[in-house]
Amino acid sequence: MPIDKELLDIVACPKCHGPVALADDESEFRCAACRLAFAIDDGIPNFLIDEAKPLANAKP
Amino acid sequence: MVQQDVLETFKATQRVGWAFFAPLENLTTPTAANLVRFAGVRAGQTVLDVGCGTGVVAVTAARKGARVAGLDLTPELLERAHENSRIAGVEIAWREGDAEKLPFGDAAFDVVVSQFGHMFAPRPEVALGEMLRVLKPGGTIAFSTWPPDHFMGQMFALFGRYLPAPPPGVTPPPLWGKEENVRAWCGGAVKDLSFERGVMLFPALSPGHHRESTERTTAGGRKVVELLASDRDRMAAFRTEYHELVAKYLEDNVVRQEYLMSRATKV
Repeated sequence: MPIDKELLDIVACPKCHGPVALADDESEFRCAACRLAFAIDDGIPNFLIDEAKPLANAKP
Repeated sequence: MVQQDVLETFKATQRVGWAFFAPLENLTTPTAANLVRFAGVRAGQTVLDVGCGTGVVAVTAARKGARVAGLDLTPELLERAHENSRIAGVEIAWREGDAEKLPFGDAAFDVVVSQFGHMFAPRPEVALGEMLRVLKPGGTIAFSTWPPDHFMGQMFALFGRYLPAPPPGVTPPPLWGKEENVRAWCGGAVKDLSFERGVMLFPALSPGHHRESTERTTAGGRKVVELLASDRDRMAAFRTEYHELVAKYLEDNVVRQEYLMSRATKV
């Protein structure tokens, strides 16, 4: 299911509360400041910091 | 200072423990409507449901025309929540996350609600601080919690007598059901704090039926069963105590479970 575009503006990084960007393929949200990627499974983003991947290793 | 890894372990246990809660959504559906009414949710508002479980409050708010996000720690419950919004024909931003680390910006919501959800976060001041952070000044925070002196609070206390003590720094959830605690934790961050009592009706053919449901669906109930599986005497003692407790609240095949609703305006 596509990510709801209208609600994107009320999402933020759980660590720094700054903006996160949706990856082009809609597979994850990314926080550029914290260098973290939050995976999206079946349309539901996982914003648990412990389960986020370092952004450097995330797929482009 | 509480050890961070102790809290993370506690949360990981909670996350798994609540995975089987979905069948109880029939009971939390009517009380969800009561909370949405109490919170005064209107069309066009942005609403966050913290500890949304299967999404009953979030879906109710969305059906009123609000733009809603629902957050929970347990992926199995979010799967059901997603299904619930699909069936209802509403779009909701479901998020897997921690009530103590909300993935939202400051002052993002008009209303922040929680139905028997945020009360299970280990540190009231942290969860409440986050809920107030993401709430707009002048916005409404409203939540339903179980008081310690009524059935559910007594049930949690019973679990507590048969389970190991929670790690230091974890506040017992029913403390959220006392008005003076809510008042103290909110402090000067809110105004117009008010309270209302509600009743959740739990149909049960016998005390045993209620216990069987609890042992199957709740984190505490499942843990007791797991822990006492090899201790028949203690298991029997637990079940006897449970039946005695339920019997006090069971009348005409319904268990009356009283709860507290709190509502305030962010300063």
